[in-house]
Amino acid sequence: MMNKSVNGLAKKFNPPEHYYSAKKQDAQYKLLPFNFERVGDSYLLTNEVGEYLFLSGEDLNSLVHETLDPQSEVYSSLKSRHVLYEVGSEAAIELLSLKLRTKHAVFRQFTSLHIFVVSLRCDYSCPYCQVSRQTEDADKYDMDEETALRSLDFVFRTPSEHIKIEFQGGEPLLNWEIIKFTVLEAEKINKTEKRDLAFVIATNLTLISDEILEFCYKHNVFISTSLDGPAHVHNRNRPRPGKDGHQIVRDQIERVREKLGPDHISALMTTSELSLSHPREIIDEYLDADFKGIFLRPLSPYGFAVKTHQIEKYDFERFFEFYQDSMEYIFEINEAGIPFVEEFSALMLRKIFLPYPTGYVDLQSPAGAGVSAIVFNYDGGVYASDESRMLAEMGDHKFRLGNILTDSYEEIFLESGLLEILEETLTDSVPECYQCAYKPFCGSEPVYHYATQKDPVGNKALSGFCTKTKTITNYLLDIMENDPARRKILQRWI
Amino acid sequence: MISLYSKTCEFINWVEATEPLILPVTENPNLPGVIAKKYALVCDHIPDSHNNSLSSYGAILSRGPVKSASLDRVIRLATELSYIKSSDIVRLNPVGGEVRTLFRSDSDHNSILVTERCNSFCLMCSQPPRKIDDSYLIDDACEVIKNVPRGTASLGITGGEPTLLGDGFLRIVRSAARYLPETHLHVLTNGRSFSERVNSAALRDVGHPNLVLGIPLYSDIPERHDFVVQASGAFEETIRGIMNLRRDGQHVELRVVIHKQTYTRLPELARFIVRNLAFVEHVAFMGLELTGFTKANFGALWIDPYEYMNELDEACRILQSARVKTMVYNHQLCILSPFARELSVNSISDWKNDYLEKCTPCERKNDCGGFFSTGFSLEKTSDHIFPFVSSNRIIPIEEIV
Amino acid sequence: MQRIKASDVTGSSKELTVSIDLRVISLEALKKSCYRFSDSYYYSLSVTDTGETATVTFRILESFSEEDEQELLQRFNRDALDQELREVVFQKTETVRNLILMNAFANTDLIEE
Repeated sequence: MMNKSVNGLAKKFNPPEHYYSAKKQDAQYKLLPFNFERVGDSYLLTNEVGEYLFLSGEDLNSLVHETLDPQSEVYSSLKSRHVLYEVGSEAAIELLSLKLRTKHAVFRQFTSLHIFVVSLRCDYSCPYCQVSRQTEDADKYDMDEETALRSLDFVFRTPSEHIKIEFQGGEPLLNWEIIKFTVLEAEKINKTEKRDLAFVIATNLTLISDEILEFCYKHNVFISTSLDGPAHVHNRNRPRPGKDGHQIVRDQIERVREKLGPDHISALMTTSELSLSHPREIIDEYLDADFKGIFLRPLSPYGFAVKTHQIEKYDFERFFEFYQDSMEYIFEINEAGIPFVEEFSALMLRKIFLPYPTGYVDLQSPAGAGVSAIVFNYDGGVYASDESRMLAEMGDHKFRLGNILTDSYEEIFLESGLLEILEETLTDSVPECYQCAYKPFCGSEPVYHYATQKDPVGNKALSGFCTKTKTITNYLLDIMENDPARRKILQRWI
Repeated sequence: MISLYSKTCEFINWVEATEPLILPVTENPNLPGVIAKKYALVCDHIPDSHNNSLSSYGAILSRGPVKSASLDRVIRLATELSYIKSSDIVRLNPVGGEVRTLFRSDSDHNSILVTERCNSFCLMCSQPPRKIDDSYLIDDACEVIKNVPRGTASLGITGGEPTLLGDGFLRIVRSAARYLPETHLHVLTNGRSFSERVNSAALRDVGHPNLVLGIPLYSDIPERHDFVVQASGAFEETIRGIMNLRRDGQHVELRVVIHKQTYTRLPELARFIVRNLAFVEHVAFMGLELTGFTKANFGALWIDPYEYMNELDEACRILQSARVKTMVYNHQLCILSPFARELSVNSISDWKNDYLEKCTPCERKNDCGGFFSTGFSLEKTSDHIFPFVSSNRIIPIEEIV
Repeated sequence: MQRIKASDVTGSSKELTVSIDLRVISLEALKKSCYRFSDSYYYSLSVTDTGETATVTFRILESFSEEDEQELLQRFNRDALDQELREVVFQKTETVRNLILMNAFANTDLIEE
């Protein structure tokens, strides 16, 4: 009880009841907007900014029918989370408005991630690759200087303070000259622009040389590579004709660290059918390679993955099993005193617990596509996202925004149909999503839904993306609510 | 513990009914007359032979006995005030026979009391409000500010509730802004008057370049906070005050005193702050000072801090994970969780801190603020105080022989 | 509120029919519930002429046991009630929601970064 009598108060001081009785026992409270979803035997309730509470069906019903007991713990928790308010409390409305505005502030920054696909050529033949591969000697799949320059023009048109340029491919190092060119030109432009400029190269590391590393050191370029697990997993996922890709990657990671420093290289993994049966070994591989964390992602429904039927081979449920096994092991590692982070969980936790936006492109509404991130293809094509480009490689140009060599900035952003798609897919406006309890933790993902259902909005009941958000959120909230020891570990990841 | 006030100093050769004087102190006996009259000279004893120059001083403070009565405006300082030195600022009240140190150049924690009136009545108030007309304190405060050395790092404004002074409050802040622009000004206020936008706008217009307002918040539940501060509607006003201050570009620090009436919902308060007030400069968790009203409400307030170690730990974790700067003040290191210990600040004003007997061998004494020495803070302490000592080395027989 | 009627058996599937009293669960809520179940089951929805009752027919596997049918109906029933509750919440909070949105995005006096 909130206002039980207090012993030890001197006479001239009022007891708690005095401050509660200002509101009468059956005082009317009013509801603030919220959504809810059944989880197990109870209900998860969230407000528009992602503050949440688990409550019983009984309490939920009382809440909605305005019969909830004002003296109860639940009532206090709901009031504190601005799910209900008392008439006369202007502070509650003011605070909620401010919170909503803060949470949506991300798109005021506009585009900050710019992907340059400098070459479509690649020396690997990964079955799940979303990039179409061309043989090494076809030069017409490389970005040229003019395209790079025009793309940079676009890049600096963004109002964003922070600009990240990421070089991808194929294998981008096959067109090293253009990477060098772009970095130098960008720095030249930035002398007057004075933004916070960051460069990343996403490479398989086979073509790393001392000259390249020298340059990266001088210009503070970060490296991102792929490590799918131990040799037998990595090499099956990423076959390299004639060589041991895994050994190369491991050796070159060390080489990069020695030249650039240990924090200048990160690794991503892709979870293939094979990966699913080796969670612990994959994590061990990352530990062995001295990484401080791992990013577990399910396979995306694009590119070669679809063509080679990888995408049919496992559904989200099997991925979730893999995820749980991995998390179990990761917790053990943390409990043994070694900090190790699962990055997707960390992203979800930030989305749930931080009052400001996280900026993770894939979990935004309006969608991050085109707005937070943009892709410049080797041929000048401009795409709303990496996935959009992969879709185009499969023959579908729905999310192609134009061509940098022929179209203006305004034409690309305003006339390409991008804004219409973003508007149509706002989670606040589409069926299922607008009343979903997980909405504050989720995003629209129009490209994903178009790729899987031919509809940017999509029927969320059929959506793997939707299932993923809900399942992982439930998993994490369960730990945060019910496991104090593991909660402390997760809190450190936020 | 250093005393800042005495009624037992001997006032020698003062004109009757002299108004109270605020003077900066100097140890230099050779100041030219025009300057000397604005200072109080402090010395170990008054020299037997002296030239007339000493007579120009605004006051002469002697640490030792005063033999001859040839000079005017002499004060024989009580022993407890013999620390007074150059750059300190004193208030001399001949009528009441009082000497008060208003500013100590040695201290990092100088504060100016600007009123004892208050519109809250906190259960644990260490400076119980008095309904008197103490508006003279406004002029005093401005006078002190004029004399504070310009290099001073920080200065506090306390009460009561300073903003009750209305324009007087603005005058004080303006004084500090003009005379001490590089000195960090820390105002302790309940923030309630800023629920009127015009007040926060007026503060903004004063333009102090280095100002932080320390505002207490005791619960995420309005009624709970109102109960602790004994004022209906205080929570609502304080929150709206904080919002207005933010609108007007002011920096706010949140202060939470932890005791029996506030510790249970500490994690919820942390959650509430993260969600709604993450823009604050930082959050300060404070221990109970066993003086003032705390004595009267002891039964309702006292809890062994060891008992709320988990709540405080969780609250700190919630705030830190959201990057809200958090500090723990006035708690002994041994009764904090390791996580909270990292956030602990040695903060009890150096004029009121002390240690227990059992603290003597503690290796972390210097990091630890110890205890308040005010009131009965040294008599009632946690049952779980223990010194940090490395385990004793067991000396092998071979080494002894 | 509901009547179970196992009817025609066509191929390897069968039908499961539920009648819903529209005074208890609104048509809006009912449609949303059906939408949710559309990942697992084909369904059809019809309303009687009087507008008081709706009929939902699920196409389920032949192999569905009595237990399975009960479980499906229970889940559907619960979900429909939840949907109805959502409608109530939405209606009750529509005004304040607009106020908050307006404050959040149109009110430039709120707080500037």
